Amino acid sequence: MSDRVSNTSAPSLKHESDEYSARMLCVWLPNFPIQRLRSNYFSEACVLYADSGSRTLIVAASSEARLQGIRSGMSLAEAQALHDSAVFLPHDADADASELKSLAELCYRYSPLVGLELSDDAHCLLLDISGCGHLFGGESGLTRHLVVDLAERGYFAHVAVARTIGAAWAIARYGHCTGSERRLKSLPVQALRIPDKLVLQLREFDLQTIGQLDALPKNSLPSRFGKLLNERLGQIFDHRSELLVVLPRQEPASAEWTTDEAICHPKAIQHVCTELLAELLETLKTRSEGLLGLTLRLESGTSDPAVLKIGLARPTDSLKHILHVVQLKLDTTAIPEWIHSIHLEASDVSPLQIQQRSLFSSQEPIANDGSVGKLADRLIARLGDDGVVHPKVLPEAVPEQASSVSPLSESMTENALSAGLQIASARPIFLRRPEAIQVTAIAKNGAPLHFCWSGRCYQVVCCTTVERIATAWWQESGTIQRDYYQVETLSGARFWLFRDRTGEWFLHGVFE
Amino acid sequence: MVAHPDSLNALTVSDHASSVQELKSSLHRMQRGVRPGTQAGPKSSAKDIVSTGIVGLDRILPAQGLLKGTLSEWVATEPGSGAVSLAMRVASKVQQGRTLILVDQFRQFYAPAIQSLGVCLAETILVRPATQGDELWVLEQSLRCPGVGAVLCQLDRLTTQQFRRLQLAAESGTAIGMLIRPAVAQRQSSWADVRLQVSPRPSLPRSFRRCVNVQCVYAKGSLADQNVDLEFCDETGLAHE
Repeated sequence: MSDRVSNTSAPSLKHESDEYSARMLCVWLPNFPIQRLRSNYFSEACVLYADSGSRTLIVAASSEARLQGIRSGMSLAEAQALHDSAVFLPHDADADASELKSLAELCYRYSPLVGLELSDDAHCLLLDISGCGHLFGGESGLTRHLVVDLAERGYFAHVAVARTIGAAWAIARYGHCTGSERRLKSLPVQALRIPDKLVLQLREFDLQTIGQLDALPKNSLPSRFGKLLNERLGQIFDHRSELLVVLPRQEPASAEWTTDEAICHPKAIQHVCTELLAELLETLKTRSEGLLGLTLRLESGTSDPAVLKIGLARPTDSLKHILHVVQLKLDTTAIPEWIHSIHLEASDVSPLQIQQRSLFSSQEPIANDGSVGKLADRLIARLGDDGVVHPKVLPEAVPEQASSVSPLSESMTENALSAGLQIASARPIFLRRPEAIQVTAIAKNGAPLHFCWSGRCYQVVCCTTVERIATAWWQESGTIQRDYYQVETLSGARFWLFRDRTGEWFLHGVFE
Repeated sequence: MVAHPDSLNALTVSDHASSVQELKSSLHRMQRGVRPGTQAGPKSSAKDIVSTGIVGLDRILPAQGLLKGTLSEWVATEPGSGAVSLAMRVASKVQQGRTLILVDQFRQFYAPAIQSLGVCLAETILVRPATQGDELWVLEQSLRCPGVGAVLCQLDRLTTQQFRRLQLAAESGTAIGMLIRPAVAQRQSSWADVRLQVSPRPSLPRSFRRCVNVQCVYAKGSLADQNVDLEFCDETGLAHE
């Protein structure tokens, strides 16, 4: 009747392929708030807390913290006393919900109907996979793919498939391997999705399993335990139908213009783009979202369509700014001469960030007022991703490999810090490709005394001691062995020279 | 009545001396007009002046620092003079937590060296235009952006019209534009607020510390004849006179 799989072991499912009966899949993400943080940040012991009335209580704790005795519901002070080296963070329920919705988006690959379990601290996704299994080679194939997808996002999940939502949820949370009606009845009463208070009440009557409850006359239950218990019992055994509350999915906002009379004049194209963009932004405005990525498709009847992808540094709803970026992109891209159709689609959107304006006007501009993001958008639109970059330092000994760049579009979101090797000697501000030079005199210690470069001869008056940079043969760059000297000429100008293992001299940089 | 020739002569001499004195003092007043702490000039106030972080360099600048929304030229007298390193040190100070834009047409800026000069790489954007037209466009856009603290670019050729456009772009924003120019640029007219000539100096005996001479060869609206010798310590990053 029902099957369960988790991404700790290879899934093994028994099939009762009843093509026409409902098949519900439940994905439970155990300790989800901690998993969410770990997938993004760190791997240390972590504890989340939240204010509850006048007290601050623990909401979730990682396995390392739980080993130290920290439990949910414990006071923050008590938890800190038990494990003071753990990372204590405030619980962000909104971020949890947002991430769960993003995982739900991922699940649309497996089912057109995806919902969330709405009971407290559930962190479950529900999928109606009726008739979807054969697309993935059966239900086991589907669950296997889903588990792998979640693992790639950094999440460990328990997945179960059953005929009802209640049964799938119960098996995902409390079940072991495959399930049947007999197995369902052996599950604890908590598997009925009932509040903890009701569980305690049932325990007072020594009612521990679903089977014990099911054996009782149904008419007597509501007067003692309320209507919910009967309802849940019905939902788990399919006596009462339960509708899946589907998460509303928004189609990507788009706008299209088509004509029989093709246009070619840049101003006409710009006018159409303005109209379409205004329409697109109006749609996004109703969703309180800003544009982060835009795909512009220009179609001509005769040649291949031109597809322009535009990324923005931060979500924006400014028509003027986006139009400017679109115009820059159009100026630097080859587009068909005659255009029959223009299609605009918001390929990436994000909630708009609201920034409080200063109370008093000041001539001093705010450093992070978004103007740099807009500047970056314009620069990227004209110069491309490769033309606007963040410099990075890498921990490499070979000078050419110690410097790198990352596209600004990536760096603005990641803001990753880079760290290089600690080097005592100075490096030139401009690193050139090693340029062969002629050294006409060498001191006894091997340092250059006189060299010619770029049609000029320089006399060296002093230089640093030799700095040898060598790499091993198994490294990608092969064996490199260079003796570097920072030399100062008669006038005080400085250069960075090296001699390779063959004895040839090169100029590698100028201390401009 | 006829004046005595001796007294007339004495009067002429004293008039001449007083005129010279008066001219000197008015020149001095004009020069002081842009200095902070005295009578501030109409275009600049103390909060628009940003210290370069080097006391000796501040002293030779007419405003005792660089003015926001202006251009400064850093003329390198020869290869390896240290003009770019000095400008980079100053850029790290004047960006004041805002973004530093490095325009790098030749793709030669070396990140470890930039970092060692005190520049925060996380707040630095390296822009690599393919043509000179793109380079000037990038400069204009960056100078006009209010979130940018400083823009540094190596420009070999620049026509008067292009220079004027850059100056107008700088005036419309608050960024400090730092243009690294070759020695030949000294023969051209300038729309920059200051033109600094950076020449290398031999290091002192038994010391391998970098020495440069910085001369303020042009300053808008004031006398420019001062220079300073600076010595840099690579280990501490400090500059001494």
